[in-house]
Amino acid sequence: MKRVLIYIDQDAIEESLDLLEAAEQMYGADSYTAYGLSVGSACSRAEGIVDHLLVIDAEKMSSYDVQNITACIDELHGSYRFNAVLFPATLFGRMIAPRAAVRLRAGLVAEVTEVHHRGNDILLVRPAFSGRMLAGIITKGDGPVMMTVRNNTFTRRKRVRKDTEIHVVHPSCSSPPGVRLIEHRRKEAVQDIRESDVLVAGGGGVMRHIEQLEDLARELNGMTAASRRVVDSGRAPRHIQVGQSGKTVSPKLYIAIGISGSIQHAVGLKNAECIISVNSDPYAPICALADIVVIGDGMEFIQGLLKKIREHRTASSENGFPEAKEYRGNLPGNGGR
Amino acid sequence: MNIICLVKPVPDVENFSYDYEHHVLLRDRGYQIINPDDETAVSAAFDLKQQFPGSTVETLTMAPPGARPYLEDLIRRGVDRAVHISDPLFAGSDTYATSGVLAKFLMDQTYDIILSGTQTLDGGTAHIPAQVAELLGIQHISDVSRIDRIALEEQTATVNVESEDSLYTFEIDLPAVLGMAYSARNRLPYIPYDAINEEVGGKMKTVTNTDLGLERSRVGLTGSMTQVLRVEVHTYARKEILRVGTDDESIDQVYQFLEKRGFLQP
Repeated sequence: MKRVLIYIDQDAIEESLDLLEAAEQMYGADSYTAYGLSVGSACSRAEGIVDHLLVIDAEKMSSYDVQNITACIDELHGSYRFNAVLFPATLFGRMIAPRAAVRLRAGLVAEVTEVHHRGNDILLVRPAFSGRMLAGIITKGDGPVMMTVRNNTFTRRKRVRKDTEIHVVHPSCSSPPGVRLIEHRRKEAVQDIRESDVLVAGGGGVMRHIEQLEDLARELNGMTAASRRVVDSGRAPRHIQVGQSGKTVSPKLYIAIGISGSIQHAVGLKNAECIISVNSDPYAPICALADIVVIGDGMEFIQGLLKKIREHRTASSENGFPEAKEYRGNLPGNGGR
Repeated sequence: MNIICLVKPVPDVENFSYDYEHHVLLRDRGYQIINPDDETAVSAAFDLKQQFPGSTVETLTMAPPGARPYLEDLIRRGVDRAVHISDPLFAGSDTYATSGVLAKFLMDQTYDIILSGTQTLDGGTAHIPAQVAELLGIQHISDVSRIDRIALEEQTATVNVESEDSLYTFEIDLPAVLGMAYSARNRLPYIPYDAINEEVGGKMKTVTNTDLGLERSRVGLTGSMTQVLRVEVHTYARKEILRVGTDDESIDQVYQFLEKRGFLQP
């Protein structure tokens, strides 16, 4: 039996447990034992899901004390000899994993998107080079296979409930924490682009006109989104960024305006149903993903389409439905839309 | 205060060279920019230098010889000293091996704070700052959006950290590695006109493995814990695509498409 350690981030418990699917793809459902590592609390949601739950006492360690958590993972590895150690790519998962890899003298692959096999090796795939390429990577040496995985990359399948054994861990290595939390505030909940059926997304090509996308988005009952380049330039907030370093979205309609579409961006729109790409470059990579490619200026497209939509609306209101929107629900024969 | 910034020149993502036979990036070609997150780090260092007169800002870079002009420009932009670690033995190092080289150099340096970008545009792993900190046995925190306060007497820094859904304020013991999140507001100043051709060689230091004395087995491809076996330049699945322009007829086609799929509000 292989032994797989999964770091459970208290702020992303379900996402952490999804990593069991990655473990399953590495070793097969019945060929590994899952160890969950939880810092601070017993994490009841992991019970029945992992075989062993290792719990570090909250009094001994806080979940942002990365140096001590790293030392503790090292100590646990000393007793359990894990074959793989997996971390969710959360703020703290991404800080602990590299430190632990140094301690364990192990190969770490960041933000893995696929697990494959090649001979006896496990081949981990990740986008690299700003998403221009996919790299297949193996780890070397005697240490465990280590990886971080972004949210929504793997989805855990329902399995028979396991009898989880809980072990309270008493780390011998704990030093006073060198990082202390002064304040923690949740950001104000903003409307999440992941929940919108329609996204109108702008890229470098329309960077200076990003607010004009809003009109089209409103007309289509959707939200605006942006590429990394736009967000990095400070012209759009980070929470509307689509792509590898932003959010993964699955809208019914994605209109990409002035976005070239590196894999990094494409990774973020894996499950979009329809894509319309508007780009002055007919060879922009995103065009190959699209249902419709509009070759031309993004602003011209938006203005043209808005005009068309409004014309049609005026035309239909002249036909005797002055406020079609309000009346529609009460009109006969309007069902089944 | 001594501030060391970890800086990496990265190839322009639009224009890179990759050796498909040996699976290594040809870093000696097509250098274009200082990694944007690292630029934020150097800019934050300049801010600290203003707050603490007498401070020095030094950059540390491991890169092939071709990186030198970019480091010289950093000096012209206000960096006090640029250290360039470069040795053919280090070619092909992954993040593990690279951290080992950087940490070996840093072990003999004095510093109050190490600033770096959280991640790079090319690799994007965010491993290096954390691994350097681990090897040096010091604290590290990433995604720092602001350095709020440095208390030199207490040897602590107060920093703001931003994740997708939270804002944190942490106090961290110094020395520490702070991984800065990219900020469009923190860009480097332009090179002053009269400094464009300034001779800065005296502020450059080149370091090779003769100076560092690392075993060959610890560096380069052999010292790496990961190996790239396969690389695909992504090609997308072909499907039927409607190609149009922005003339009236084309817009009408898009309109019909949206209407047929039920995206237009009644």
